[in-house]
Amino acid sequence: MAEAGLSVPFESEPPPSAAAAVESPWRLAWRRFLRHKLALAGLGVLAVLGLSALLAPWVAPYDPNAIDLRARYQPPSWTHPMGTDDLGRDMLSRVIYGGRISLSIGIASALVAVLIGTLLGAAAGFFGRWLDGVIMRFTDLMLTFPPLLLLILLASLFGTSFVTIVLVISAVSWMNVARLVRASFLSLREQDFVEAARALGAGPVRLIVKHILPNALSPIIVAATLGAASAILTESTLSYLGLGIQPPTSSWGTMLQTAQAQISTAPWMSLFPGLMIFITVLSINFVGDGLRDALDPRKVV
Amino acid sequence: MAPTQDGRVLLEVKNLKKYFPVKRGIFRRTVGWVKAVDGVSFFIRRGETLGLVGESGCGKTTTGRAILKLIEPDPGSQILFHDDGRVIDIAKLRPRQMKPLRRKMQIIFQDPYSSLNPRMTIGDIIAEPLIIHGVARTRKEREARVRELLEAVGLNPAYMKRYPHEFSGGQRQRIGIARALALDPQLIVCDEPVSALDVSIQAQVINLLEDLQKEFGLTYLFIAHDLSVVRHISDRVAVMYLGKIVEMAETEELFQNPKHPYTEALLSAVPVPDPDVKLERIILEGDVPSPVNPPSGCVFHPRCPYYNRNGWEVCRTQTPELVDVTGTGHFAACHFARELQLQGVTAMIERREARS
Repeated sequence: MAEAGLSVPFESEPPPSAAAAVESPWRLAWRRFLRHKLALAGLGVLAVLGLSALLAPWVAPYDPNAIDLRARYQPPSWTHPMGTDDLGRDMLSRVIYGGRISLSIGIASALVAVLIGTLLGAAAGFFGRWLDGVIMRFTDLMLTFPPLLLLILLASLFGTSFVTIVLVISAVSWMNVARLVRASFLSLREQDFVEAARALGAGPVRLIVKHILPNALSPIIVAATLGAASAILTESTLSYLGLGIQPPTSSWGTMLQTAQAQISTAPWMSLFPGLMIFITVLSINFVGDGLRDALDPRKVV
Repeated sequence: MAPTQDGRVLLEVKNLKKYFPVKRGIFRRTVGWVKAVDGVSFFIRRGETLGLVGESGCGKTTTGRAILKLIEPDPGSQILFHDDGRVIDIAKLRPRQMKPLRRKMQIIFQDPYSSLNPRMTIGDIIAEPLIIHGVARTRKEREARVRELLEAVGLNPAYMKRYPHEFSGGQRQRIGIARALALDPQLIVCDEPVSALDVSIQAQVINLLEDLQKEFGLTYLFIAHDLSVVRHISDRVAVMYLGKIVEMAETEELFQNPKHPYTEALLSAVPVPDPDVKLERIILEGDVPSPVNPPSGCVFHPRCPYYNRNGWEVCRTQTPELVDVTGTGHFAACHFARELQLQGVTAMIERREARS
């Protein structure tokens, strides 16, 4: 402390140019993300996949369901870059249309799972006490079921439409999000800035929406991204077991299933859908890793 | 201790208690209680600063938070807020009833890094109390008020659109102070507001708090463990030990003429900025006992040098009350407060100098 008088001038004022662009935490995270090469590559691949799925009617060279029995089992060629299947349908067009189903089921299931997980985790973490006990014991219970068994059971009970498949997949995958959200709510609830808002008279809605949730968002975003990858895999599993989207519409998973009989005679039929799943899941995981690094405040570079 | 008649009293705390349950086993059975705050009573007059000192874990912070109902006080506690002739017992209010009172009492936190929401701009942080209480209705009104507040705490209003991570500890503490001031409160609980700051910045923040007190007629409950800071800013000081107040008096009276052996030991630990002076520190034996199972009688007796020398039985068997020892508002909770000849800060220094 300064001697006697305590008359110290104010600290030098901070950051240069008070009027310059505002560095919001989100913008900072985006800048960190841009430095992550693999994540950027993943994002690029996903953009291409997403666009071609979105614009399938214009991108696909053939009608994916047009049967041409004279052109069955053709290996990849200039007319059919990915070959044709057992009914002479163009594989490339089917892969593009299949991407629509696979991607949208993946994204929708991840969103629904994150929504359920966030709601339950937030309620458990914020209100605590008996509600926490009830919700978390239910979560533990759900985790004790082998997910595959649960999937088969639910899918055979509720059918195989798009909506039910999304609901079935999210029903077996929200638990980790719930645990994650609860944990960050528990620690954030004790932070001084939450306490300060409480001292100002903020109600539970304001505390959650304005103070706790925005600070818990980073792990949720990462979980949602990685969740989309595993949802795509889960969808393939379901389809492979014959519990997915029914023909003639097909996802990459259903295509794999029909291809397995010809794996030795027409390997391209399973190669390309499998490759697509592989590339998509890998890209999403890269993006997820990039997001985690960019959003983790402890890893400020 | 009955200052209710004193018209200048703003806040009166009576028998404040907060026990935290200790739970064990799979059934979370309560096996004991941490007596964080165990029957604390004090009062604060309008416009004064009451320093609350004590070592870590003695219950200072719990006391501060219980007053604001950030921690629910145990039944039987009374927190009387004297508001324009009315007396409101905060301890009994439900959260909804508490809201209007939140305009009148605010808090400043110790850690300037965790007390500001990293996802909100400075302007939004300071405007939030205005929104919650519907004070300034339009965006323009709010912005004007935020500007005013930032200037009041010595920050450039142009920083309104910036985020907390761009500011230093001292500046963040100013932002926290601006937020606490937004609703024109009467009482501010300062929970170690300078303990986390550099020493050079501490002085600025303390000066700011003093200036604001004069300007807005604020009343402070100043929680701290740094005795020189407390001596500088407080009108009166209360000393806590193991969840209880052991002594409370006017600042200079307490520093020069302590009546409780614990206070004497604390004072002997204050550093003196003179290399020639060496204080004879009173080293307390042992550790602070666990608040789960505090000692019988006077909670301080196992570490009290006078008890250990004389072995008075009453210290072990009876809990001393906090009584006015001098009749002039010097309270102490010691059976021998009147008999013991304890040394204040000046006496400690002089004795040493005389010897050398």
